[in-house]
Amino acid sequence: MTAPAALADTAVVVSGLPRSGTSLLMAMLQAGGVPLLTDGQRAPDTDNPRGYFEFEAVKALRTDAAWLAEARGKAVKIVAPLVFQLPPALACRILFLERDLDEVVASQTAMLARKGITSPLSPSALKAALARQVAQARVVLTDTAQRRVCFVEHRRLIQSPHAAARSIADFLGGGLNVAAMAAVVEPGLYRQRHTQAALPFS
Amino acid sequence: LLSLEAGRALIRPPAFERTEAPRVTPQRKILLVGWDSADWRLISPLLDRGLMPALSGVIERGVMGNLASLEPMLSPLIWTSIATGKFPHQHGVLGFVEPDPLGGGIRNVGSTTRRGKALWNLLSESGLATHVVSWYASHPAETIRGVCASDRFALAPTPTAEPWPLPEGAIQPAAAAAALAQFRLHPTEIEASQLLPFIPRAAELDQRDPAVAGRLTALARILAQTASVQAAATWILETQPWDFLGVYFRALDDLGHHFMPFRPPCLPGVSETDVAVYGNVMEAACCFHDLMLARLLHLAGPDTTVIVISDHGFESGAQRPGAVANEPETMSGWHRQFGILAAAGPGVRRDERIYGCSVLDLTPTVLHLFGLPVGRDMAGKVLVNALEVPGEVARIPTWENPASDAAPAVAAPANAGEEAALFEHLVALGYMQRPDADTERQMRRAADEITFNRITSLVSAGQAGEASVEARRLAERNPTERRHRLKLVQALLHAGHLSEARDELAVVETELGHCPNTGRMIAHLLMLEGNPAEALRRLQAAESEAPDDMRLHEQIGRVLLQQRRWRDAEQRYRRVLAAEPENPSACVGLAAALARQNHNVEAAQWALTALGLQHFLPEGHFQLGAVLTKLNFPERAIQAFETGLSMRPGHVPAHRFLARLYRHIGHTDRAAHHRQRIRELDPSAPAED
Repeated sequence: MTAPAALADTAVVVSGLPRSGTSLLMAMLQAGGVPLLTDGQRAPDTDNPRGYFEFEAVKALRTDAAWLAEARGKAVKIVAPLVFQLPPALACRILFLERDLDEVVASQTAMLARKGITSPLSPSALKAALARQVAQARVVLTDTAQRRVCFVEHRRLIQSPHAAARSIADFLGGGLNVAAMAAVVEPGLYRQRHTQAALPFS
Repeated sequence: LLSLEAGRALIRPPAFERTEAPRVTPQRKILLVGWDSADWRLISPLLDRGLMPALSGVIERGVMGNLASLEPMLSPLIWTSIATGKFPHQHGVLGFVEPDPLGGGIRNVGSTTRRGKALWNLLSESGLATHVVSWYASHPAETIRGVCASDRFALAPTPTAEPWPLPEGAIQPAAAAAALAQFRLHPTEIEASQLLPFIPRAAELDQRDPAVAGRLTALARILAQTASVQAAATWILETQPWDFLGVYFRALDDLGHHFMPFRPPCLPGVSETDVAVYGNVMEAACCFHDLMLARLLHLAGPDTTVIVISDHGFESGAQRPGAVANEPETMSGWHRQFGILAAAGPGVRRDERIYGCSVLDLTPTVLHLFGLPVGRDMAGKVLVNALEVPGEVARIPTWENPASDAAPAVAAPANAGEEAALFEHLVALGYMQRPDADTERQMRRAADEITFNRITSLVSAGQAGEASVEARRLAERNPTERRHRLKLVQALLHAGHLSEARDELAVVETELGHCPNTGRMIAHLLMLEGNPAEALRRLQAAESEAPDDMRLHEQIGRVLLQQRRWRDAEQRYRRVLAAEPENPSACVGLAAALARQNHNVEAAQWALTALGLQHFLPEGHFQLGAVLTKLNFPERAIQAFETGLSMRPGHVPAHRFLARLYRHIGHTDRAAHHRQRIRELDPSAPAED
């Protein structure tokens, strides 16, 4: 697979908090025709049946960014805490997922529970810490000469996949298969939807 | 000033947590200028010689005073306290660096470290055109209703000017970045002739000498950064609509750490030649700042209220602590407790000296000047004695909005424990990689330093109980680190946990050996345990080894007070004050000694002097209350005791005085309240005396 012409010299960075829909968006981009930079080391599991679409070297981004040369013309997943380490001179388009924080906390907690691990942070402390990460993204991730940033609502991705896919394709310069991208979204995988508790006497 | 009625109409403090920021129609402009480390001791002689006419003008048409700093006296902590009205343990900026939440080492503290809103956020939310330039710990720049240029905006990391990109996130809004980038001056653009006002003999120096080259390079770097900051501030004043501009210059501190040792008189270990060559740098730097201030004042116009401040002072005379000022271990020893405050303009009193000002007071005062309410969670007060018509201070519970997920500015948990927990959480999820052992050690050291400073801040704010819990954990993590162990002892002593303090001190002496600090702490403990004779014996033994140690003399003074040796205590405190005239706790000690000898008027004067130097001084308010009681000013005595109690809740002697005073003036219900408090605090104590 080769990248659409508009992305030939640009890395597409998919970012967001862990469990904010970054894997879903990676799958959409792949379906749309964007090559992915992944190594398949992290296998699909119950939490991400499609797979994680990760690249192990991302975790060492702070100390070694040489691999970013491989990301030109490809999409790579770099979760929120690490995305702030991208070199300013990197030509890239960043898609930053934003998801209801209660849903993110619930999803991360469930993922840890399946591993038999208890988070060192209480749900409220975790939510506050994650909120700060998003706030930092809003402050730091701004458009520059080399970089363009698009914040993507996870809820919109689920509720209006076609419109969302169209917006994403436009942001990336067009040339993507929007219908294939939208078809990736399966509402059945959207398990940690945050709903208001029903009123007992309503 | 806004009239009281207009202010009330505009503010209307809500009864509960507010959901929207109060909004105000701007009727004034405020220019807040920060000069890191500016000190009246250095500046006053220059004012007298007419060399700082701009600052002199501010003082003549306004007010001046000391600005008391906080412990620990470190610039990022104090400038953030200035910008929030809160103690460092409240605002969360607790060091120069912090562990990187990515587990990738350490990073400089910044706006993302701060827990909660800064002054520029509050003013911006209130609809004011707000700008801030180069404030300490302000990177990345925040989105406000105006231009925010962070403290990295003017930094020049590259050796040459081309290319010289703006650091990521240094300017908000991004549209202002291009304009401001062009005003930056790179150190290589500083010409030799521009160094000559600071070092007139620079051309004679051998620049192959690394020490000489280092000093000239440092001077060029500092001048370039300062000029860049000034250019950004003047650009804003010239081109942007504005109600508030805060601009911070760090040059006096930077230059002080390079050149203050060379200022005359010549210190031991400093060459006469260096004094002749570099001895004028600091005076020249002050004059340079005055020139910049003149330009800012001109652009701001006569209808602007201007406030010039520093975070702390800088030793410049005979008490300089050594021949080197730029070693990390000893840098803070050069800082003096009192910075400067000068203010003038509409609403500010004219040609007055004001007292009792703290770095915590700036944010409440600026809010009040704009007719905005002060948060009850702010530790500072409105400097009403600086204002022509103080008006009623409006208050709200807080400016923070705890329900919001999108708290501005704060991007990572500043608390070291939370920071580590978040990292562990992300490692467990499989999204982060654990760092190598060296990096982990570096991060742990940074986290420990933050904890150490947090404990110091808590103790300073009278929260010794909480401090002692954290200090215990810190000491357990670092059993061979003497300063951590002694910090625990200090916290325990302040919390009144005497037996635990004694046990810990004994273990420290056994494991790590004796040192002057442990000796002083043992004496302090003995005094608290009611054994002043043994305390005095130990202190006098230490005195023979360090006869000029004023901390020792002050401690001896306290023991002598406990022994009711009033005359001896008075002499001790007078000796301390001869060496350190601006030592507030020595003033309080002298007030106590004089009051017990019935020199009540002089005692009151010393207590007031102490509180003029430092308002947050519970013992000072107590001594003032005690002497005013003796002088038969019951209402004013009550005010002093109540103020002291607000700073030191649960102080039984103050409650006892208040019970008696309220009964004396016929407020039986208030008297009964204080008798009840005495019974609650000390069931064995008689409520009546």
